[in-house]
Amino acid sequence: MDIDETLVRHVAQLARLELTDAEVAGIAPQLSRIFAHVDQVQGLDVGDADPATQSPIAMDDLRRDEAGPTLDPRAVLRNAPQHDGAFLVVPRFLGDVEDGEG
Amino acid sequence: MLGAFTPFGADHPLDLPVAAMAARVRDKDDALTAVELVQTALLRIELLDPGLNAFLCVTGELGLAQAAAVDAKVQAGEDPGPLAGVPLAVKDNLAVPGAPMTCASKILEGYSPPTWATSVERAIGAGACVVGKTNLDEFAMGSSTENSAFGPSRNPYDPARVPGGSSGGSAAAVAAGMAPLALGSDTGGSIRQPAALCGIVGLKPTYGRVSRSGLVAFASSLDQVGPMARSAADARALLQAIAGTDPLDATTRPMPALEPDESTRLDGLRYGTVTEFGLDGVPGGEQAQAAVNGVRATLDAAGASSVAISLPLVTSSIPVYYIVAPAEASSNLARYDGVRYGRRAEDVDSLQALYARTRDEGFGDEVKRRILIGTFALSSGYADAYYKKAMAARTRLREQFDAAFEQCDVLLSATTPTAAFGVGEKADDPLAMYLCDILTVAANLAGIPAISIPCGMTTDGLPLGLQLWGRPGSEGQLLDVAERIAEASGHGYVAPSVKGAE
Repeated sequence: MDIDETLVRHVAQLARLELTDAEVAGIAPQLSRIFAHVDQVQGLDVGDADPATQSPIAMDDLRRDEAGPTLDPRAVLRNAPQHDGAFLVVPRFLGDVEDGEG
Repeated sequence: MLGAFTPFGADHPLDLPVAAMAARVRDKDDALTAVELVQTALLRIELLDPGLNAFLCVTGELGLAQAAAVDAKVQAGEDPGPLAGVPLAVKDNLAVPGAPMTCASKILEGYSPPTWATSVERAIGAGACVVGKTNLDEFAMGSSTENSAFGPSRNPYDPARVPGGSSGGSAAAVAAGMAPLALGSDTGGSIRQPAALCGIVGLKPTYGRVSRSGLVAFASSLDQVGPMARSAADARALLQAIAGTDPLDATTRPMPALEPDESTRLDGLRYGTVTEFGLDGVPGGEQAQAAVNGVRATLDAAGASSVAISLPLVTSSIPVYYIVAPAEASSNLARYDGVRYGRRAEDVDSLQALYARTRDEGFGDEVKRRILIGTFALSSGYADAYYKKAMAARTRLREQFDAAFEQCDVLLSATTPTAAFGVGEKADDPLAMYLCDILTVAANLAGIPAISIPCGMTTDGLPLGLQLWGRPGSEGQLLDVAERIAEASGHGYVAPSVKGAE
């Protein structure tokens, strides 16, 4: 699998990574080399094996859905880059909204 | 107060086996206190860590408070537990409230977790005292601890070399005598490989043995928390403290007990020699292979027998691992978006730009690489060819291990193809770094336990590790065999000379 800069930009967009041009140029050949190696997975003969599951969780193991103690919201908000005491604050993302409409 | 203690010395109590150290603290008539042990550990960190960079944060106040609580229990006639007063280093991807948790990433700048990691909480419950958080490859992605936003850690046997990774800080801390015990995490070898390169014992438990609650998720079907120590007996003591089911981690399972079985003998032991783990023809692999062969000769002389084993899928374990781990990582690391915690990019005017720029500024190169590999492997049109196929290969690999353990009790291999490499030596070649993981990733893919123990030194005086692999739930047996091998071979932890340096 040859991974060119266009593909790197596409995947970076899917991964929400804003790479610089220099990063894209550096990473494309590295990913090409890595995929040249990992591509052998596609040729493995695994017959009809099911995809592995680790410690499948049996329904009997699930706890009852009961209310219990939760984290203190103030302790959680303390780690937020921006908050107003009750809510996380992020940049406006629905375009300009005039006062009164929101 | 500190002046009253000699931090180094042949018979300092901090260098005792953990059981003996804790026994002295638990003995009300013995003058040794938990506070003295922690003070000594802190003094050693102060003297040695500037040259090793094993610690990202020293938690002296916390450790001394925990030690004082242990001493108070002893005075009150209560038992503080089997790890009473033993200083513990914690990899900085395990949550300790009150201390920063960085995962060696800029993206978690300023973050302090609100809850305890279950494994850390249980170690403290057994009497251990946390002296600091240790350096790692960012989000545990790496094999050298060079991918840390806070600079590389150094190998105590040669500071020009890496300590391995990703639990390199924990390994260096134990090897240099700064803490007798450390917690690490192992997704593809991150406990065993640094243990080998730093000449100590490191154990990756069976998937489900130890709770991951409070461990920052990297690849959830592979991650395990485990002990790092100077001997198998010490590693067992820490594993016993942290193991067990936890309602906060639904993948934990009841497992066989971990008590030592004194009846374990090398006489009659059937150990598997795996063709695919042989190092003949591997560049630089001669010394590691010779060290393993030396242990095999010891085993044979003691009455053990070698069984030839082939695990054909091991040859594909690197490609399988480097699909599965990045795929799961790309999903787990989606949470770092600059909204709820950690770093946030400045001067952005849209939410999309906030996510993308925060992640570009906050993540290091290796983390970005793995997110891109994983995102691509899971993307529309490729997921079946990569992730699903890789997961099916894991099923087959596990079947091959099951069949192997029908024929033998344990498998034996080197832990790494070579001893510690130089800082910077492989930094520009990610694929070369990935290929070094050939001897460790299969245990994670199969979910089985494996332990690395010291098995001698190279001609340059660098440690080498021997790895024992067992069937699921067999950590107790692996530790028994590890102890017998250490007794029979004479190999074990040898303090590096850096320990006496100032």
